[in-house]
Amino acid sequence: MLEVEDLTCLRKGRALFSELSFSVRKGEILQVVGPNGSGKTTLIRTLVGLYTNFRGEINWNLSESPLFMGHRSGINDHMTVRENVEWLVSLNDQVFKPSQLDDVMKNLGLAKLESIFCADLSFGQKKKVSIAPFLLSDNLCWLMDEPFSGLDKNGVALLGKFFGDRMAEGGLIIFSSHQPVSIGGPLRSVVLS
Amino acid sequence: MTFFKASIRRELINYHRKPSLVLNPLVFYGLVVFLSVIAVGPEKGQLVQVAPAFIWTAALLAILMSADGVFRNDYEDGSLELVVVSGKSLAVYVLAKTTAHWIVTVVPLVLLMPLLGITLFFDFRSIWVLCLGIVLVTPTLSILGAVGAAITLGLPRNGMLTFVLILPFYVPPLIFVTGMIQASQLGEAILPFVYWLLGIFFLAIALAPMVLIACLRMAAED
Repeated sequence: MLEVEDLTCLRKGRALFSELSFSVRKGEILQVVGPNGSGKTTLIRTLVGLYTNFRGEINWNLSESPLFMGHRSGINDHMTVRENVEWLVSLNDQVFKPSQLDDVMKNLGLAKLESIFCADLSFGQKKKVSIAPFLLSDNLCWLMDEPFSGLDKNGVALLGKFFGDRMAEGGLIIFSSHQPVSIGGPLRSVVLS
Repeated sequence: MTFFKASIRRELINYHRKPSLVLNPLVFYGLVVFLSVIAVGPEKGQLVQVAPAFIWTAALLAILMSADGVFRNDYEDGSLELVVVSGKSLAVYVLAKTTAHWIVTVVPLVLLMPLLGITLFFDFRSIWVLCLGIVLVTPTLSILGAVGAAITLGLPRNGMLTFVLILPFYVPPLIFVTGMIQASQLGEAILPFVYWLLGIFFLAIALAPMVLIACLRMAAED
């Protein structure tokens, strides 16, 4: 579980948000809501340790590092869809069978694109590629920055369903989005102003 | 170990897909040596004396030039962040990066060396020593080049900064490797130079990762 107490993030000498406190338990999903520039990305980056200019306490009670999806995709344009997914998965020490990978690709609608260079994909398709490692992992803690942006209607519904499934398995998900999202379950939110 | 293998594989795939990364330094190297030969003139006695100087200067600049980009792509597409967050050892990541860079820059250089050696009137023994020198000195140059790349990562248009920061550290390996060729041409023992070059390499590989890791973390955090 995650406990955040009195978190204040500073950017260029100005407080983005101050004295933020919340906690997330296993089986809970937290949506970070707020207008552009309110600090959603900074909050997510602070939680994974990529932003250190903050005051307050962040306590993770986890055995492994959370899976992270950032603003930048981490996808290499000169590698194929499959090569990218395999490398991203190797970052999480995950072992998977080829059939699992095929299933995930089919689910995401990437089955026919496996040997295409990522430079030739659209923004939304790249987003799906960066979602793939999450579905191949046993790690139940996900931190995602704007996972829904760029996805088509089906993609949004699909990711919502994945969220619901993970929650049922006892997952802990924190994501940012300024749109209302339905995940087939209760959704808590932190509002940044 | 699997992460090391996966990272090396990823690097080699990338170099394979972007051959200009391998060819540019090689062409640069060939051109510098070629132009220097024209400038000095084709007299055998003179060439044999000064050729090692520009062979090594050119190799050094070619490697530094190509090392400058080793982390750039990962930094820009966000993979670096993911590696930092994943909790994977950054030392392994850095080692995979520099090893791959070393493989793709050094193998072509070693292959080119006999050809250059013959053009420059080097005898067989000198060519052999040149190749040995390349193999001994380039790992150090690769690692130090990566340090330069990591320090300037995230700075826009860092062009000359890497050169200014790292070239002073290239001086000791340069001195010993040129000394090795000269010693072999004079018929003296080259072993002391081999030991020195190995010593410098071990020093570099022991200390550089600490600097590299700190720099990469800082770059990922901004």
